[in-house]
Amino acid sequence: MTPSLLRLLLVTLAATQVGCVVVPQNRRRHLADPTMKMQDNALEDRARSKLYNSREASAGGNGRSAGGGCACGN
Amino acid sequence: MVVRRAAAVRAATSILILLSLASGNVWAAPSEPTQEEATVLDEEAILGDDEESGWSVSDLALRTTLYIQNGEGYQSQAGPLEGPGSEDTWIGRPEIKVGLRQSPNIQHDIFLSMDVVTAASPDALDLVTAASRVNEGTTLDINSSFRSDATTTYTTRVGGHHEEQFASFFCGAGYVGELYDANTVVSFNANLTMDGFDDLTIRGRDLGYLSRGNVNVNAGLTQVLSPTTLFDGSLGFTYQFGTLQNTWNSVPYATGDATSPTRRTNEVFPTRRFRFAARGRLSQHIPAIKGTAKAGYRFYVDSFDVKGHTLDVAYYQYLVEYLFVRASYRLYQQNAVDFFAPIVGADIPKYRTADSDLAALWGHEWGLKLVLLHSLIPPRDDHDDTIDVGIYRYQRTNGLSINYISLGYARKF
Repeated sequence: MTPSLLRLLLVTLAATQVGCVVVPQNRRRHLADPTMKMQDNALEDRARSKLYNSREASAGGNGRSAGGGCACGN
Repeated sequence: MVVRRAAAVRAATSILILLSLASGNVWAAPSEPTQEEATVLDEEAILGDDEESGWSVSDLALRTTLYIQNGEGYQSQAGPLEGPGSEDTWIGRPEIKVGLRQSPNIQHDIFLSMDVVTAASPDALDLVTAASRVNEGTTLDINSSFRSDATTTYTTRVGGHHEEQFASFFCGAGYVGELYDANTVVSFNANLTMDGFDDLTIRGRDLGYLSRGNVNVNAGLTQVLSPTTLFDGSLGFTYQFGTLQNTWNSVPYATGDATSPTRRTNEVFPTRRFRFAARGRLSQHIPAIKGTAKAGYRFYVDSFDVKGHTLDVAYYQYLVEYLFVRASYRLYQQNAVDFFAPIVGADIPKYRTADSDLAALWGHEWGLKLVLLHSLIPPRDDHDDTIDVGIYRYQRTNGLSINYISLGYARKF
């Protein structure tokens, strides 16, 4: 395992440990704000992903396949 | 005196009780709901009728984006033989998403997008097709989800892509699970993509049909960290196999011949590629100023020796109750694939590419987006609809820039 990957895993682990406190549903009003959405807009996210995937060597990490599916991809 | 004080207390208490009764705020055991209240509080009305069925449109989204790209790359033949060629192009991308609710537990999201490209890859394709002058690509992607119980959802994905000399099919399946009262959401999915395309040489000959494919698995996590803080992250492995290069991409090479010092040959990649990416993001809402800040990082590595780092930050600020602005910045850095060279020597290596997308580069993107929550404008609408407009600039350090504008409309029914 590379040091970079190890660091990333440690940061992820540390971040998720805070989540041991369960926030009840009636205190999640702010999490439901439109600005807090995981995906701002599904169509916009797809368009931007395609822009990056077809002009950069890296892809993936967004729950989708890295590469393939288009003649423009790498 | 004591009698007068007791009378005053009794009078004040009586007034308070009368006011409470008038306002319905009674300090007593709750009474049985009226017929009207019973209808409002009916479980079926709140949770939905499990027996309810029938198709309906749950949401609709439209978007169109115009990209204006300027730049040059060695893979393009639209330029001098020994130098980089033009990558100038305009791209129009209309898209639509339709959400269809089959039943309370089954949802289908249909995405249809089209790319109209004025110069897909200015090269030999023009000799046999019109693909590099004007090309259209269409993608259909159908995402379905089935909620089997309160905490478990299964997903499927199927679709295809078509452009003039290229066709692709993809499918996938996944699982989404909610834990700890949905404070934690985990997801897993697996995908398969198969591409088929014409084996076009850099001089326009069609040598037949080629294919490539990839298998991909992903895991995701969303975690509520506080009433205003959210973490989401994912990681994914992809294995690609087959003809991974774009056969019509050219690579300049030095011949060593004084009369014709530079010629072009075709791009060749290894036939396998392992790719890994991991991403994490924190989102923090700041109620006091009605703002939200987000920061994310992605790490990428693959078997072509590419390492990529992406940092993206965004800040959202409400201007009024129904209008907010998003300012975003994305920083990207990659090193070149291990067989990249803008011009190779006379002893042409087995694997080679001059594709500027695979060179060492830094990329910056700035964006500004205005989102109007139309349904919140008084008097409020029953529907949840939004209108947005965004302008962006993507700039690479190796000579490519894109300005684009995106307009979107979405409505939930």
